[in-house]
Amino acid sequence: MKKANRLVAVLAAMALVLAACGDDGGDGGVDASDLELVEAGTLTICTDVPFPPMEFEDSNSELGYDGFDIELSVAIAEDLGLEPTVATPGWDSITGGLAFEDDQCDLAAASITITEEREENIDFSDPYFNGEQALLVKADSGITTWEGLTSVAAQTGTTGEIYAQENWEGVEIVSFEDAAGPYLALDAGEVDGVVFDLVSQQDVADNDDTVTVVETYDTDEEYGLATKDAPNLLEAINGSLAGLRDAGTYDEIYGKWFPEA
Amino acid sequence: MAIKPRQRQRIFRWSMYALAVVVVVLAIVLGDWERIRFNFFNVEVMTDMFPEVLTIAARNTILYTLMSFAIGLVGALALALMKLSTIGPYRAFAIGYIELFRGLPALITLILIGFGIPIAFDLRMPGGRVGAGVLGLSIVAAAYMAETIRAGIEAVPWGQSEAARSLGMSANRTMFTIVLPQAFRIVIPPLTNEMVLLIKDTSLFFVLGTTPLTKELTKFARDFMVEIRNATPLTVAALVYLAITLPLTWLVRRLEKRAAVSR
Repeated sequence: MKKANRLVAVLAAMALVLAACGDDGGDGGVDASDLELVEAGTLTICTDVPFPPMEFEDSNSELGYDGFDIELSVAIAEDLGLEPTVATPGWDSITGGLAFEDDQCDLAAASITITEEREENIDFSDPYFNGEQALLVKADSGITTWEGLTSVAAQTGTTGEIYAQENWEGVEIVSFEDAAGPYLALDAGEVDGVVFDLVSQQDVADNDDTVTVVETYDTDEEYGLATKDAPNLLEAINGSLAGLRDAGTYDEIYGKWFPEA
Repeated sequence: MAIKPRQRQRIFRWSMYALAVVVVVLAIVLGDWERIRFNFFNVEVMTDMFPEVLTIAARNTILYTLMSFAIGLVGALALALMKLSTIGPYRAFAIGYIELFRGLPALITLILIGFGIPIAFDLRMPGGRVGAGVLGLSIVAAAYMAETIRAGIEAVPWGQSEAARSLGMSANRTMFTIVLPQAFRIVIPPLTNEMVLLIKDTSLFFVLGTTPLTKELTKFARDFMVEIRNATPLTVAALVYLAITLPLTWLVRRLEKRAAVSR
């Protein structure tokens, strides 16, 4: 749709303006009192579950949630000397910025891909994860590339769906509102494959021998942590993220959740 | 000073009017009309939605409704007759079926039919996802309409059957040529209501997955809304729904009035 492209261009321009405005905030030196937190001394981490292994509910975990994103943001909270707590205000209100405006979140860690469109609503940290897309098919289907597909399932509005629309000519794309539908449709034989984020697809394949990941696609996609109108906090998070990488903590957490990588 | 009941009534009524006026005025004053216009009545967005909102979305909504209604009606008739049958197992089946599918959310029935059966028996639904959706909705509609039709059959005076039987008609012939035609006349308004409910239930088809050509109104509007970050598509969809349902509900009122007169 032509209209959408025009809108994206406008949003991109606005994002640039916003980015330019945001550059002069904060003057170094992390002090917890400068961070303007929802609750003093506590880092309220917002996420959206389930998206294993990045974030999912876990009643055995102290916070009630676990996963790569959770563990990384908890490490950041500890690094900043804050008490972590997790909230789930809903995907749209996180990416739309509403959850921040309503003082429900300090930091969003929900495998959010950095896009110009979202940058208009929320402020992203430095990228912390490379998101790849992957094609998952039935192990006994004999399909090895997307060219063997006649139909593929995807979640509406996700990078996977957009990638398939732009690159897989002649493949029927069936869209689902949630992340469960595509796998049900694959099970029911309605589609030949599922296109979705690799981290999630790998997790599905690891737990189910009847399906397998056959192709991955680099879409230059990067996940970012997000804040809104909190330049001091954002700077502290970026500093902490760099520190965790240098200290090897990041690799440790990564190795725990993605042992085969 | 004592207030007469009549006076009190009048004061009450006028205070209600005043309250309504205050609410409307507040809505007008407090509403950010520029934002409302931009978000919900954005003409540019509206023009972008045409003609697909009619040629694809509204067409699919109507098509899915009519198919589900037709299949559901046949099923409902069979169920109603089974429920009134003298044969025990028929009655038990009809009661079980009606209670089950009236008690389940339509969404769950759709998922069970669309995914559950294919996975369990390793078969494909005829007509694919749309076929599964229509079948699922028909099953639900049949459960609701069966009770309506049964009530309609029971509303036909017993004397009609007695007269037919005493003229030598068989029980089946009595049912199909004497009782059912009269029953249907009675149940047309409630069945039309059921159709209005079905129109809105087609918005549940999204759970079975959609392609650009199989989207119905709600899914079409939601996707459009996500794509352009503006709520106008919902307004347009709402108006199209009303354009379909209002004539139907108007028809129900007319039919009810006519039925009342003829009695």
